[in-house]
Amino acid sequence: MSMKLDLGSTFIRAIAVAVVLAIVAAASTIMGTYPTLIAITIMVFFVYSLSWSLLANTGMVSLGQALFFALGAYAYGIFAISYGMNPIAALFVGPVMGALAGLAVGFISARLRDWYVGIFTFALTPAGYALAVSSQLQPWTAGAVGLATPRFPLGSSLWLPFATVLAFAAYLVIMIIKKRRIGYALSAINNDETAAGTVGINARLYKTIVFGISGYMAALAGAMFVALYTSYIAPDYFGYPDISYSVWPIFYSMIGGMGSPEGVLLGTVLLDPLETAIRSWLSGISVVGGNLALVIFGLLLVVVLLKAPKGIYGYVAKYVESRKARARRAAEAGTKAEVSTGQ
Amino acid sequence: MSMLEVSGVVKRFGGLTALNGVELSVRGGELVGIIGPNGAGKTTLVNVVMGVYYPDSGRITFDGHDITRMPPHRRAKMGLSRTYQVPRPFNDLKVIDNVAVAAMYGSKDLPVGEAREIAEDLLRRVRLAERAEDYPESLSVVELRKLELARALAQEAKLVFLDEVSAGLVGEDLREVLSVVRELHEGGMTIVMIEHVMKVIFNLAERIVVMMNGQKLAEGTPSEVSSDARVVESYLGRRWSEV
Repeated sequence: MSMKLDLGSTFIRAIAVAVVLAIVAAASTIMGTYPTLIAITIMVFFVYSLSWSLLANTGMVSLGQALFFALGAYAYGIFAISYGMNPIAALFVGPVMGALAGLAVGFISARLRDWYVGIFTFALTPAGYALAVSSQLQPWTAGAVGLATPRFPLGSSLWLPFATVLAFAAYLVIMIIKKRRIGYALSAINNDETAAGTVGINARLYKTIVFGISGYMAALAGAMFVALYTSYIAPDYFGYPDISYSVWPIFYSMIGGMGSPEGVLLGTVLLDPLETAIRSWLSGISVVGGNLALVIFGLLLVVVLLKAPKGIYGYVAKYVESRKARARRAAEAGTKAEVSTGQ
Repeated sequence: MSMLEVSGVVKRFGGLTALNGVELSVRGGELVGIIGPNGAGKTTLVNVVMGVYYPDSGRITFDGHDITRMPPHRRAKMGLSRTYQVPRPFNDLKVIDNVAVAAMYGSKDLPVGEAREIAEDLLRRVRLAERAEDYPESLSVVELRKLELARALAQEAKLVFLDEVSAGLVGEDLREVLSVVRELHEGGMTIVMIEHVMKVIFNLAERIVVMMNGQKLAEGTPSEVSSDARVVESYLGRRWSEV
């Protein structure tokens, strides 16, 4: 959790994020049905990308975040269909499965160093896919066919506002974590796990907890995706064989600037519509449109990170910070000059 | 009764025996120096006491508890702390928060507000208050060392290992850091100083332990150690005895 890139106080930042989210929601609503759907995916992927960056800022790079995303989607659908739960309740209860899976994955990941966390999480996604299509679970998951979910019981004009509120809530959760005692521990663990242990921080415990929180958030994003956007759950939400579901939150967070939730928001707002545009543009040319979009984003990531290792937001924040520092130095020089001329 | 008791500790890395049956005993309130040439096992000893590695054999007790296989964060909570040869600050946290986080998670579990107040006081004590709002990247070596000392203080550590706290420092900077160390010791902190250069701790330590090839070679007051024939021969060199 890089606090270094903070612009302004917590309160002002929260207001700014609320305003950006409200503008995205309002503008797309005015523009029509299709832009409204895109805006819903922005909200979903903002929550999803926050879940990924929370882990990354605790020193754990998840390459299989889709595991939790898909678990949330399936849990939502299965609770609503097989157990007749109210979909609104299922949207919040279903992600508990993601949290439990997160705690289990976190318990192991906390004992792994560096890239092993990535390999481990990546290796879990085919397992999730295999479960979803397995004949034993078919009565609940409908196997490879996928599950069609019931209509979400809110007026469809309320879906985007609802998604927007959830996105803002996810942002607030991240900010609260940052500002509280646990946030300091996570920063310390991210910077230097050994030194964190030296000052009394139980890195394994915190990493496990963080995975649980991240699992809930990713699963909530998966449930939102199904409830408010697709009304359908497919086994490939597990990010297997198509890895894109695990990869988008990484692209959005890293290009936007994963050090702060505002950077993640910037990345999602800029790139999610771009992704949709590229995908629909390429699908006219080729059936592999989705994967070509990944290639384009991969190149974009390389270009951005070469110029701005901390993402676009990090670059802007650094620029503003250096401008401020220059102004401060100039002001100090000014007062000195006054003192000397006054004598 | 001694506060820290290291007995018969062996630590091997592959074919290399870094510690070969080390004995060390530290009483509460002492300032002990450990010296020895490169590769003598000084830093490995600190790492084993702090729990970075567990020893292959031997036993470590602190405050009467066996801590041989206790995880590092629990040792910190019991009051053990250290500084690093190459300082290891938390770069995303401001200087004040680097110290505050140690107060939050050290011997006591303190809330953020209280921990930051304590951190402010401690930064004044180690004469680093004017850098409180800066990030560690912009700190000089001497300031980073003070930051690590403040962090150990914030933990309310009972015993602190200072791993080459003088490394890379000369003149005024060295005197400054050593005077902070002296103040901490006078304030009741038990300190073990690991040094490469003997003269740094000669005037400071009450007792000196000389390490060599993963073992204790000699032990005694600075003057005893410096006149010990084995030490003179194997470590200090002939010229020292002529001084």
